[in-house]
Amino acid sequence: MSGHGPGDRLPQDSRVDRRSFLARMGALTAAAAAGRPFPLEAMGTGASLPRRSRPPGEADFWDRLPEPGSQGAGLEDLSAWEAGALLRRREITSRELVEACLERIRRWDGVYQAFNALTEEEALRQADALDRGRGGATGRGGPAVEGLLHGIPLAIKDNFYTRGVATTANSHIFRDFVPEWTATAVVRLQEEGGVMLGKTQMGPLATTRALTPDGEITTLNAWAPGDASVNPGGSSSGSATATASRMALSSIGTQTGGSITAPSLAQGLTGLKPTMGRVSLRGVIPLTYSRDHVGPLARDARDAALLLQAMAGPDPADPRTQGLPAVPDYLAAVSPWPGLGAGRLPWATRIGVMPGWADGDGAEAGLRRDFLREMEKAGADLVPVDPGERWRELSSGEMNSVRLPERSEPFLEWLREDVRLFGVSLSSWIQGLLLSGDEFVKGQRARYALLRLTLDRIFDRCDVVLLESHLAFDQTGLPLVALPVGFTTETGGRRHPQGILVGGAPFGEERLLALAHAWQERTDHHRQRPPDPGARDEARYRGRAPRGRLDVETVAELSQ
Amino acid sequence: MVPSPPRSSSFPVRPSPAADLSDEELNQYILTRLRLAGVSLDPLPERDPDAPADRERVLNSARSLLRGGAAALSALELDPQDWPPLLYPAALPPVEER
Repeated sequence: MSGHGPGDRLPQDSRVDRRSFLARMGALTAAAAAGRPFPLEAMGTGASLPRRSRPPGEADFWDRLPEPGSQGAGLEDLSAWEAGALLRRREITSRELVEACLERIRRWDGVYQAFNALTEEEALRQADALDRGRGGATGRGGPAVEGLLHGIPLAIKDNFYTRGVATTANSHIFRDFVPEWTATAVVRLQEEGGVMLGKTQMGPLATTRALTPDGEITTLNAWAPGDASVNPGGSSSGSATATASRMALSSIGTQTGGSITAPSLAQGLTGLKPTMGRVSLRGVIPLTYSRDHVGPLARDARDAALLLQAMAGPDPADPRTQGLPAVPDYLAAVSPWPGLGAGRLPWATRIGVMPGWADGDGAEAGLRRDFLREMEKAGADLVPVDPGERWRELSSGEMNSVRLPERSEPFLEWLREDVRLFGVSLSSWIQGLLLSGDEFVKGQRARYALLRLTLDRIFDRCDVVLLESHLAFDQTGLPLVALPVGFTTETGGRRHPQGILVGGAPFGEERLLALAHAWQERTDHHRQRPPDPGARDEARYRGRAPRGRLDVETVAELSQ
Repeated sequence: MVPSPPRSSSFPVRPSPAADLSDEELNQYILTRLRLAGVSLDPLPERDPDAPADRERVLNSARSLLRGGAAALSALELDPQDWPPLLYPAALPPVEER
């Protein structure tokens, strides 16, 4: 296989100067230490965003797509790229897509409780406008579709500012907050034709699995609608459940400590946490300034590429997005290419395997070994990597405590007003007030050491690495993808999705997407959809039936 | 009630001065620090399993941090020549491509 892939060029992670990335992350740490204020209304009406150039390969992307494989199922079963292809062929309309999702929401969200708020009328109005733009009420026979996400129904986590639509972050603090402007990431999805169906449930203030502010479980795992104790993943649980249960074609969330990748792993989705700064955080209620990331929770790697392509890029209002390499053509990483067989990697890729990653007799270990075998067939080289005990020490949960002051500082006003506003999430905000200055500085040094060890002892040997935990890559701002690798069968016969975490070098999103896509061309795990809730599930959980609750200590333990 | 996950730690246990302090001593420190920050736990019930949070559980979590994460950070040994904090650059340097 040639070392070169799409367009005869190397992916961005091969071209980024890692030394300059190190220096930049240090500067981002400084921004965190400076404790920028967290204005709500004071943040103004939102900056006007510069128009961005189209990805160079977009035309090729739509031309080269294979026949949508989900045809024959309902419109709500389509992945976003399949729906996009059918819209471009004028076989369906955006209104039909939106109505199919709304119908499922009406039928099932009383059980799943994935949404906090619906924007049904606006979604239909927007879909009709997009369809009219294609020529007539049916949308059929009109001019070419514009926008990467033209007409695609999306679910948006409830910590993104949305103009005129309540943005609660599932917290008492924001119970009545209706922003006057929209988060940059959401603006960009809408500029590309994405249609917001509503805001999704989340862990209170983005801490843990979706709960009410006072700790009552809300959102169910779409694969276990009869058992609320099965974790849907935190904290972007609502986005994950909406996508997995076919109430939205795709979704976005945020990750500070596993909140995109964990629900993706728990619900058979492809979740991407991009490199720090790749997507603007302007208009996202902060949890940790220097570790918050925006990314897609999608049905497959192609969908993740589409959403990332739409959202990525510099934002004049977010310094974390500035001075980065130009946004590459992510679509090229998930496109078929002449001369490249299906399921083959477009770039020579060394996959780093940590000690013990695929050991064991259990079903999960077997699925991991299946993944390794298939990726070798896809053209990857498997290389053992062991960053050492020091790396593991610096990646530990205790070192992770350094994030806590960043969450307390912007919320001090509310802590002073009444600690009960924080409901079941209170403990980690109190903890954040207890680290001393020297401990905070030590933690920043530890993050720098962790990043350098990751670059020197992992990425000098491989291009991507298979991980047990998201922690090191959340702390250092490096990209991660979660992807489904199969299922295990639980007692009672319920199937439970299994997935893996893959970490990338700085700006390694193209390579991570290409890897996930090659795997998904070889397998059909990502095409599996959970069955609808049964009559017993519905009887048990519809409406306000209790689903259990988490207490303040457990939330502190799970807090991300 | 959903069962709590196992509480495990991959970080080696190190002797910490916080381990020698009693719950009462740590509580006094915590409440004083909160007062200095202008934050009060008084609105919370002392002990109420049905409440979203109570003073007893919040203080328990706070002590856990002081005996765990804070102590681990404090005990961490990093050579300042090799591992500067890079805390104070004034501008965001661009990430360069080769």
